[in-house]
Amino acid sequence: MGESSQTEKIEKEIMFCPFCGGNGCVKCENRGVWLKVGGAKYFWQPKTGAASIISSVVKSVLFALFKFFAVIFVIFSFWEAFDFSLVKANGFYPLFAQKGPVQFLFWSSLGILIYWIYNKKIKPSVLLEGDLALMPKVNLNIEPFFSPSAKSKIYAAITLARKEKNPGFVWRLLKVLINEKKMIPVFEKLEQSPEKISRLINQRAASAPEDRGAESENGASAIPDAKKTALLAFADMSALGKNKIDETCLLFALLRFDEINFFFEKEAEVETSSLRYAAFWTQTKPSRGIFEGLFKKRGKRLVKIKHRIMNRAWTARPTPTLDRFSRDITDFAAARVIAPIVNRRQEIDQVMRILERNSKNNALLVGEVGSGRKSIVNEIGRLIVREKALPNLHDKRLVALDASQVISGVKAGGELESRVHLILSEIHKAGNVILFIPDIHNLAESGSEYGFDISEILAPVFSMSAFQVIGSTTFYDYHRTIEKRGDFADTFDIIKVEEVSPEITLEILMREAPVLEDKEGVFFTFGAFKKAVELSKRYIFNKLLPSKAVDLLSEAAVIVRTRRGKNAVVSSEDIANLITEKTGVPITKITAGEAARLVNLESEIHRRVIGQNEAVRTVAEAIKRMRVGLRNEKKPVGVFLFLGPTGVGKTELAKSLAEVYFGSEESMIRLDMSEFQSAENIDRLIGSTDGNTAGRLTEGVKKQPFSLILLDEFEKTHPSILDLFLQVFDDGRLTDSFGRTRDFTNTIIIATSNVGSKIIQERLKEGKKLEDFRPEIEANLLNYFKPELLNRFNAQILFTTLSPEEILQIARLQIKKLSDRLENAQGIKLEVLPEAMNKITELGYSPLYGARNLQRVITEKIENIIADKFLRGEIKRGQTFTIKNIE
Amino acid sequence: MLDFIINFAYDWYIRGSKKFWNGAFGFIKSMDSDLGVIANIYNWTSPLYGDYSYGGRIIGPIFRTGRIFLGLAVCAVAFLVALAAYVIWLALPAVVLVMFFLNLLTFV
Repeated sequence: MGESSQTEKIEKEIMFCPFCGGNGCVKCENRGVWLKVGGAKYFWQPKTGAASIISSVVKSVLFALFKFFAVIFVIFSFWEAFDFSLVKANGFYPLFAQKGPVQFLFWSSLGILIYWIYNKKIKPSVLLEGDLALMPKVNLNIEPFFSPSAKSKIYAAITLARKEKNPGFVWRLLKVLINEKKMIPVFEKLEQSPEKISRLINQRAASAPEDRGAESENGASAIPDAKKTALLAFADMSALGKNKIDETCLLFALLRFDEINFFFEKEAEVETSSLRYAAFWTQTKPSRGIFEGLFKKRGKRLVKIKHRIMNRAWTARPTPTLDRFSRDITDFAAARVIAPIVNRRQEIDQVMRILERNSKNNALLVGEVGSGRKSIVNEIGRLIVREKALPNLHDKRLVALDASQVISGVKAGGELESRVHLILSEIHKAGNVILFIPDIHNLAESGSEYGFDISEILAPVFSMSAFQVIGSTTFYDYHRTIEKRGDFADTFDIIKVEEVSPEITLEILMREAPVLEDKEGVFFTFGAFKKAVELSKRYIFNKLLPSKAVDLLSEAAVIVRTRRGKNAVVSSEDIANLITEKTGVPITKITAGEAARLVNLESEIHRRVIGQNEAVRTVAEAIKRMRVGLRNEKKPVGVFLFLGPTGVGKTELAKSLAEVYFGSEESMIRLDMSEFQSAENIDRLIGSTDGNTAGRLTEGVKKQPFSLILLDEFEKTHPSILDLFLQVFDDGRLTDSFGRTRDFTNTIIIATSNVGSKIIQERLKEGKKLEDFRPEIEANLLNYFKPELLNRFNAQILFTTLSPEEILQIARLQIKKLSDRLENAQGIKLEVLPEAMNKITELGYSPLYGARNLQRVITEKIENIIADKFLRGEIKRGQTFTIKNIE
Repeated sequence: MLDFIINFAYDWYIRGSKKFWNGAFGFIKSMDSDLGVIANIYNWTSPLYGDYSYGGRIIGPIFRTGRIFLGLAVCAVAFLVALAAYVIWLALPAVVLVMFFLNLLTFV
């Protein structure tokens, strides 16, 4: 809408008469308050006495009656003149030559018609450009700009203020406005109960202090604020491009008052920016009245696409081969099935300027999927048809070639080559074709299976500039395919198509919403739009805005319709649910059950991880902070360094964290950093520039943006590779070998290291506490990692060696898991007696390897025996297998 | 009242005329997107349908000349209709006013 800055500026120009404070006096010619913009002064001279209000209402009723009778009169007079005696029999001559009552009726009706044409079509509107600053120097009463209903609201508020003997006009106006039927959908769109808002306003209005200009108890004046509000509404009317001050303008004006702003933001918990958007959107939405069916039918009618080959100058030639493999965008634009684009003016102008040139007139749109490359080309097609494109593009055909169709069905290389030659020759001869090749990399690299390269055929033709070409590709495919075909790449000028901003996306959604609502039979709240933009930006990475937000909204609409039926409301919570379903990340509001689970998160983790209290507490606290929205969203969820000897539960804690936060252990990207001990191994981490090696880290995060990244044996990483992690830990992003940025802001990163484990073991043996030797460990870490890297960890967590009791608990846990598996798979119950359990613990424990051998012992001493006995038929389903002792 | 008369006269005759002719020329221009008069003038020497044979080069200007004249004739008719409408536009307020009062007098 973009009105705020202008109106902020305008508000400063509001002036009150220093003599009467805005009530109106002789010195200010009863104007009281002015809005000064440039050289122009606006004022509102309402008639606010009780008699004036009544006379104004009577006047508006009389005027409406007059208009009605004027229409009847004109129709009747023309009917009389044409049908009755004159024109039908003798032509127009008697109307001029003779005089009489019928002629009088005719000419007076014509006079009324002229006045109507003058008033509606010719008389200039005071606001020509919607910008008050551009207005001529006038001194104007804004009274004629009021819609009758808006004016009646102001009068009602003044009357209310008088009745309540309180000049708090703005609260009374707000009260009147909120009770207006038109405002109910606004608050419903904001997922707010209109009744609640109304109740809060009534409370505030009752306690509002006197605003301004109170004269006495019974002479309290609401006039100055009424005038100020009216003038601000006038400014908003201009900024919104309207020609009447309506209820939306009044609401916008009220939001300029600090107390109203504060009330909505802090007390009613309604964002005023959202309120403005919702009010504007709801009030300017296409009517859903009695003509809805008619519009629906028109919207859904089958449109016949007429194929036009010939240009106006008759110089073109038919292109039958091209037509077989293409779609004419200008044909679709001529049939008006291409909707105008929002924003992208800069890119469109750039493309048209390139196409307009005499040489090197080919443009290549490079952008990610969903960035709107196709929409840009469609818009150019629309501009060509409407003759709004640059002159060289007038009367041209914009044709999109389907490269996959060109390639498909080809049996030999020669066939493909001749097909491409034929298409290019047709385009050249036609002379009126602009060729659009979507995903041009597919065509450029085809032919290699037949021993030639299509780009070698295309490059010389494109470089001749005989016709214009628009190509589109992604950054990745540009580097992979086009850049290395130098001659081919040189024929294009590159235009980068970046992602649109969330604000523009919001506008696009508001435009798309009515179409989606009609199609799916549901209604969107404004919160759903905001959430769709916010969450798709944060959690969807394989597409760009706006398409990912539009897709999210469409999907949510389908889900809501199927689950809750037609006319259901799609709210922000539905969008959040959908994102949670898609990503597995809990982003919906914290329910009571979940809150309880979060409070007990430590004990939840301890069900899997035995001991290591400090480590568990630190990570649990990080999760809690994140879930209540306290984390920094521009960094990873958490970055931890787990230090300690092997087999003490570092990996187990990482796994349990992945399960608790991301829903499953599978959401873990595990990298053994001992594989990255030389600088050359960087390719395996972020991909090689030739595209032959995929980056395990970057591709892993691309596939699983919500995951736990476990960097095992972090200290073994080559120092230059370690430097890469500085950016990851700090900014939550990393650029791969193709220059694509990968997002790590939804990951938990855990690096494990055995550095200092010897110190830990020795000091613990000496009976020291963790805190006593932490400085020693930290000093030791500096031998392996740079201080700036260590500083970027949220916490360096020391894992202690496990005590025999803890090993026993781990053994019990693992035996329980085995028992469950056995019962599920074979229906056999497992019972391990304490003596056997102690033996397993004894065999599985090693001061050097912690509990690492425990699983091996369980496999050897229990699992193998059970398998053997089961196969021999010595134990059967339903039986309990008891292990009394272990040899 | 005097203000109204002055404003009306200015708006009807000056602003209104500007609007009228903008609309009329816009309409004639939009007709050209079908008639192709300007395009054929620019391409008068170009052969039709990319036929660069001798025959094509000769026939091209002949056909184009015919098309240009035909198109101009249609545009001229449209212009004359617009001109007639404009004359009515100019005369209408005055005629209506005069006829209104002349007929009013019959009641007196």
